[in-house]
Amino acid sequence: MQIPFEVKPRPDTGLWNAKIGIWLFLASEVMLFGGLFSGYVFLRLGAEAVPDYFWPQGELDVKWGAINTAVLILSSVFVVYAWVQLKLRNYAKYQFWMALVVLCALAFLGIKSVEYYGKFTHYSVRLKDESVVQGHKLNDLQKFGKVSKVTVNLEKADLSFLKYIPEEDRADLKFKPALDDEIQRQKNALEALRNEAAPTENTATREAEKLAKTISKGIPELESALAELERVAAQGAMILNSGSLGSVRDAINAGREVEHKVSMAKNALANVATRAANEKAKAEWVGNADPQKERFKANALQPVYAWDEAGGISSIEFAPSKPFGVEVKRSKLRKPGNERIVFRDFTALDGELAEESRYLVVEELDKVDLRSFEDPTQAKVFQYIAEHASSHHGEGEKGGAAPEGSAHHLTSAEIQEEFLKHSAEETEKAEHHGYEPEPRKTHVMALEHVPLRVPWEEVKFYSNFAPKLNTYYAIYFSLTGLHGLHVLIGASVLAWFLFFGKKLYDKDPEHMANRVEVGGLFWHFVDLVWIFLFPLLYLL
Amino acid sequence: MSDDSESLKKHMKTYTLVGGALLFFTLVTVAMSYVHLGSHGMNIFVGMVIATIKAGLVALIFMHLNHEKRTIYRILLFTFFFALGLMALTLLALGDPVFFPGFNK
Repeated sequence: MQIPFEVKPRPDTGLWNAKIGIWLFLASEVMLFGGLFSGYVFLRLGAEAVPDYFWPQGELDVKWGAINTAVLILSSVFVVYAWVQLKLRNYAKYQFWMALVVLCALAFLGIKSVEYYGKFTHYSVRLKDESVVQGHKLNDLQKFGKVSKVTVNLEKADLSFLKYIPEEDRADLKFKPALDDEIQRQKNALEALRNEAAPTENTATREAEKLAKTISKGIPELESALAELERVAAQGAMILNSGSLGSVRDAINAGREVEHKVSMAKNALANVATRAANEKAKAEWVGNADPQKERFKANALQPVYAWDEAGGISSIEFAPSKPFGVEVKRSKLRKPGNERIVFRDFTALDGELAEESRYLVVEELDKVDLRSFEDPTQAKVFQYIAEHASSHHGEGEKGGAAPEGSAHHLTSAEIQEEFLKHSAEETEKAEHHGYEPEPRKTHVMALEHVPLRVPWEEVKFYSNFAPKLNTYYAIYFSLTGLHGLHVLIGASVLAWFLFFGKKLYDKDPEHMANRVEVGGLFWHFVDLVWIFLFPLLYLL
Repeated sequence: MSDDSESLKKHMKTYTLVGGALLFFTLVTVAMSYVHLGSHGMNIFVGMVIATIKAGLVALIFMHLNHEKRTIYRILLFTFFFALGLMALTLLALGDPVFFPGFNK
């Protein structure tokens, strides 16, 4: 059946189907992007109210934004050219222009990828005193060695720490549940009970006999629990054998079993001990000519061993067969530290953090931002920029004089001096032109790839330029990401028309022209969105 | 729309001119962002005015809104008012106490 009004317009509206369809769709697209633009305005207004948060105006590379604007404008022109050529029934020329449109789209996406990649490999570091530096080649690797104890949370563990153990440490590494102390404690307790049950000179009374009997009755029960505990502890070496993450569930289950047996043994002890204490008190009651009710109570209710709440253990300790190390990005840790690190699954490792890992290192700083400071000389950041340069440089040149004119690292004082000079110059420039000096000029200075080395204690926050960095990048990636998706889908549709349009063209060229017109309308809309995005995100 | 080849060729010319104008306005946008217009708000305003002119050109010429059927104008009229409402709703956030002086002190 022929669908009506695919090519011929409906007499009442004067429109063919796809045309009214695309306009309704574009209307909904306006609302979609409108919502996001609205979100942008909201975040931007909100940023004004937050102290020490400065809208990162002018942080993006205008060059790429402008080139991409031009690319999209050209592609918009080409798509109407292509449509006109179809109307003129000139298929070869149509294909030529359409191919250019698709190439423009690919160029746009290529440039966008370059920009995104640049953002993801660029870092921002905020120190505790609110000074901010930006740069490349950030090293947040935590080399944590001499691990002697692994505490595994039985509820949450995925044992992901295993994959951060370097190859050379992995060989023959086994983990044993650290239950030796617990077993010894249980053994001692058992021994103490046995002694209490053993006959002495004073056991002639009926009551003492009864006590010994009661304890003796509990002992086999206790012994079997202890044996079970010892068995699981001995097997434990297999529980956490390194490398095999597949055995994680087994490990956790076995851990639970250990925990359960410990509780069982403790509770068995407590049970017998309570009964023993009761017997003892009863014996005293009977033997005493003037029994005190209070004394009876005190004795009866104070068992030797406290009852252990079963299921209370949520973590279990493992001892490695040899000390080992992990190398992990700091961002993968729930809680970093010098003697103990905790992974996201709550697995804690006790050991020692390597000296070099106690500092955050950014090899190539390109910007320092002190907008939070009234007086930039108060900023601590300068001392960490220079410290690294001087200490490392000095060590490397031991034993020989430094060659004259070799790479000169700026010292802390020199960089600070430069900053103050820059600040004064920018202020003067602004005043000369008769406008208020802008902090983003006077309190922000470019650096020429000087390194940063700062103790972790001084670092408040660090991140690459990803959505989590701040609200600007969150909305930047939302808006450009959604727009990029539109480019990708629009280009795919147009590429389809380019490569597979011949059949329809031969059958009904006007129908084909209509399709291209509709695809073109979508494409223009994508261009239109970018026309607003470019100044909002790159310039203003 | 007249579909004869003469007028279509004339269209091509218009499209080229509009494309050139759009590229020109892009340069103006970039240039204006480096000029101080008294306050930053003024810069944003001017930037948005230029962007709106560009968007208008795209919509009117490339998307043929300069000669469309009434139904489409009607759809867009609704869209315009709803989008305006959407933007206006955001401004309600200005009533948030964080904007009261001294809130963050």
